[in-house]
Amino acid sequence: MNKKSLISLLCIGLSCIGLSACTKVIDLNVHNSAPVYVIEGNVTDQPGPYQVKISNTVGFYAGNQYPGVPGAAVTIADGAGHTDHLTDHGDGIYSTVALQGVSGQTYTLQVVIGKDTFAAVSSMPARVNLDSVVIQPVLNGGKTVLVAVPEFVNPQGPGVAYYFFDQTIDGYLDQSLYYWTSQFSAGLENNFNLERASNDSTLHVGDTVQVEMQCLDQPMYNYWSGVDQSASGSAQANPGNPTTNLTGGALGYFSAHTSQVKGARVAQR
Amino acid sequence: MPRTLILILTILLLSFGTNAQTKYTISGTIRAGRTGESAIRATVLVSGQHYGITTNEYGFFSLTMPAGHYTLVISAVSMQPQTMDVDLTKDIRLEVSLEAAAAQLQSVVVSAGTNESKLAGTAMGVDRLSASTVRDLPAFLGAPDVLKTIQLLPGVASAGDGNTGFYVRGGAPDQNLILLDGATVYNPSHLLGFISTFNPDAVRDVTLYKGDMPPAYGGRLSSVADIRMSEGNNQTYHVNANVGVITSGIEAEGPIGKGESSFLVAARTTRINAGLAASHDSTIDKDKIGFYDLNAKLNFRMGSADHLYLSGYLGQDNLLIYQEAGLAWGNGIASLRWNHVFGHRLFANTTLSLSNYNWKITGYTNGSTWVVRSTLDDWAFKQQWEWYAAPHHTVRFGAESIYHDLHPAKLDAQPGTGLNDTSFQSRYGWENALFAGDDWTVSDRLTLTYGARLTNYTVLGPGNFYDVNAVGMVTKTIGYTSGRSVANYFHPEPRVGLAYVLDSRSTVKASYARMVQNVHQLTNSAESLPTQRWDLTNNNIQPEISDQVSLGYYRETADRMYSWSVEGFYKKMQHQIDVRTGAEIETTDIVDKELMYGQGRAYGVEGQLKKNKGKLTGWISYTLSRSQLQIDSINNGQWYTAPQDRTHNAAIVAIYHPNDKWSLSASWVYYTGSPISYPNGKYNVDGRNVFYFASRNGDRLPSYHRLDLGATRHYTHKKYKADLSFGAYNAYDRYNAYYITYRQNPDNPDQTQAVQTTLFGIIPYIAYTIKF
Repeated sequence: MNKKSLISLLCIGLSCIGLSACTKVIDLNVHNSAPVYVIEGNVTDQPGPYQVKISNTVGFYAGNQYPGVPGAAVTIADGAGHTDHLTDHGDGIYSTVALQGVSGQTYTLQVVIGKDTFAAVSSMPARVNLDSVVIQPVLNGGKTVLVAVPEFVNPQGPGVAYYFFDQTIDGYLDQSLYYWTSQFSAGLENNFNLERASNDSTLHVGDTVQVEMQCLDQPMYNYWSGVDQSASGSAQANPGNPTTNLTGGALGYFSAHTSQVKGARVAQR
Repeated sequence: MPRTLILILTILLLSFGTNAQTKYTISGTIRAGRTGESAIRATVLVSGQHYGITTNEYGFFSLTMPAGHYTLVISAVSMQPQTMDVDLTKDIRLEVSLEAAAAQLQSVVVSAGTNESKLAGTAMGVDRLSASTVRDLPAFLGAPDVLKTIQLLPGVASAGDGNTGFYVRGGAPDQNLILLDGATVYNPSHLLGFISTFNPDAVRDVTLYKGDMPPAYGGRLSSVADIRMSEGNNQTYHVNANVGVITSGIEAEGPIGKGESSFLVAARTTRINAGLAASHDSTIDKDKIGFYDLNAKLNFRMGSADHLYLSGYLGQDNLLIYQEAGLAWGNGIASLRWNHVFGHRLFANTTLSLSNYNWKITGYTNGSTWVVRSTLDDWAFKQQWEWYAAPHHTVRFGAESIYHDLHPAKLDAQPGTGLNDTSFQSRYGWENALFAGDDWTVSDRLTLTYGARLTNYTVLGPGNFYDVNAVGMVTKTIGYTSGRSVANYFHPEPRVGLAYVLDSRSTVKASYARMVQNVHQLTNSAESLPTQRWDLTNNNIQPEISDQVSLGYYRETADRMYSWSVEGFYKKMQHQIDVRTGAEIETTDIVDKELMYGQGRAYGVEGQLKKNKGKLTGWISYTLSRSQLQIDSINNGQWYTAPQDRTHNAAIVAIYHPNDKWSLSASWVYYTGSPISYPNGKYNVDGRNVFYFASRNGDRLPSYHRLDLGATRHYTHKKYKADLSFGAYNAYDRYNAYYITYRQNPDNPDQTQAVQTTLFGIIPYIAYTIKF
């Protein structure tokens, strides 16, 4: 149970006796910083090429277009001594040439932009198999909502598996961040569901849902948890930048993870 | 140095010395005649002499003087002074009952320090509030609240709407020691902080120490709020019932044996659940928002030398979103205190107490439930002696021992939840202290209090303890068996205060105090939840230490109509704790990995102007202060504004009693908005907008201000008295910011926007109280 749902419960309760909370859009006197490099690199166990995106931050009130940064020298090395020099597509997108990601390998990203060098290390853990995605009803605030549940069995251990999920509904990426671990679920079937953080959190009959399940290392799990709690704009924790595995002062991440996609269609019940 | 020390000790010993004249002691207890309750801080003045003494918190006093004939003037707040002639030819024991002052006068009792002058004594940064003051102020939703009233005092700031937490002189909420009849209260909040756990029907008074803590107190850096429950009337039976918008309560008290023993019980609950159940909205009619609390106290006088007090508190909150989530929390407290007077000059108090704090989260997955529970227990013993050693010396000394037993979290999951039963390691600690202090009236003008507290903290097994490196990785794990000492910390805490009377109307005071804290609340958010994790000092978490110096000037008019004071303070804090960005402190057993350590500092000036008498009473308080933290991995190691910083903090309180039938009150507060970080940009990862923060707490929420108004009509019948109270919280409907969130503009996906959430606009209230 998070703080927001408690506060909203309390507000509902108080509204029964005539009180209510309210929200309004305000103008902030923000101080935009000089642009900061944002690096987003992924290596998966699916066939390549894999992409590294380099962009800049923009002002808070600017439009949601993020200019790409071309002209960087980008390499990804695997633990076996092979280094892939990525192709510069000129729009801030760089792609690998021959690299094939494998579970158990550790990968090193290096990005050189002018005089600045950024680097990161990420390990691809073993894959936990995503068996299927099912649609289930759950109770939320007295009403029933339909949600997608990824079906898989948490490994018994030793060690902890870390998961990240992207949910696409009718082609649109759900903006909620879903992350989970086997810490309290070792050996059990998963029950973590992908209920959207929204007033209308239900799926609707006819929706097509696609779920990508990633198994990633602990630093990347912490990164997504940090984005969600501190940088996604919600007031869950003190605002701040998530701890990244990139060195050199860039924002973003480098993630070596397994990837599996399964889908489901919300049928008439 | 040793020579200076010897010189000081010699002077001290001489100052205790008696001359050849024969001396005798008058000691005794002062009580309110109408209720039989002890009179705290009543004064016993020897007419024509400079002698005088105030009673302690159990109404006891002891005064040693040369043989002779004296006239004593005994007075207490809202009591008629009593004059007594005494022939002091042997030691005398007195039992004094004071009669209540006329009703009109009684209702004029005001506030912080009441009629007792702040000029007297060296104590700095001490404020006292009686329950009657609390009741006279506008109440939040008709429920008078001692902790909300404390926040109107100088140097004390509210943590904001929806928080019972308060900040004292730039300290964090967990740095306040909140005691109820000597036992620690870990979470003083009901309804997530909308009201406090202290039932005004059961509370008698509150003393808040924010600067110069007496050596008998320790364990928190910033303040001590010592709350005392009423003793219960040992003369006649009374029942008091009230009905308000949110809370309703009943209180009963009376003698067990008349004049010798009494009881008090008080209970409160809320009616919100009834409102929810009556709702026609099926999404909320099975939700629950409830709380209750129970206070009970028994006290027995056993002869003239012994008195026994037994106090209990039990409170629980229960929030439930039907079939989705539940949160419950509560405190349970029991304390047994025994006063014994040895001879005429040695007063002893022994306290045994148990304090329990617990919370429970309930979750539902596919119709199966899982529950997480946490408990924190303190078993405490405290022995205090007050030795009225010589006319100019009162020596207080003793020992305290607290055993902490912390169970951070235990998960019990039914099959089908996808969760395994899990337990985080329990933690144990043993805190021991020896303390001693002397109040020394050096001359008619100079008073000196000096003393120290020696604190020893032992981290105890069983359990695994970890070495953690700078990036939060465990480098070594060491297992300890039960009762083994993992680490030991010893700290002397010197406390010194000095008061110099400039003339009959003004005093200057200075003090220094060191405090040490071994129980810490870990927080990564400005808003507090009951489930926020507590942890004990261990091999990684060092005891927090503060050193505070303060300097003050106090003045009052000759008729005591007005008084004003200015105090400045500087506080340095070591081993402050913060949490790594994005850390999930609630779901990790090895929480040491997620912590960062640094230092803090707070400094400021606070002033108060008070009108003490007349139909209109009240005060204006203002504090200008700064509170900062420095932690290597935050803000590149630069000092940054602490979450509890309130640059400007002001309150105006006015209480007007035109006649016996009405009392009117108003309070206005203003403070600088909480420090927060506005985004300094945004970027995109994995198809989502993410906000960039260049520094910590570089911005502010909009400033907070609010006016509360209240009125009470008093009805007096032969058989009962009744009060009808009504008023408005946030009378001019200011939309104060609770927090600001950032999101995609729903009307234009290309844009982001900032959204301010406000908890309360104007809230009218009405409450009815009846007393038999």
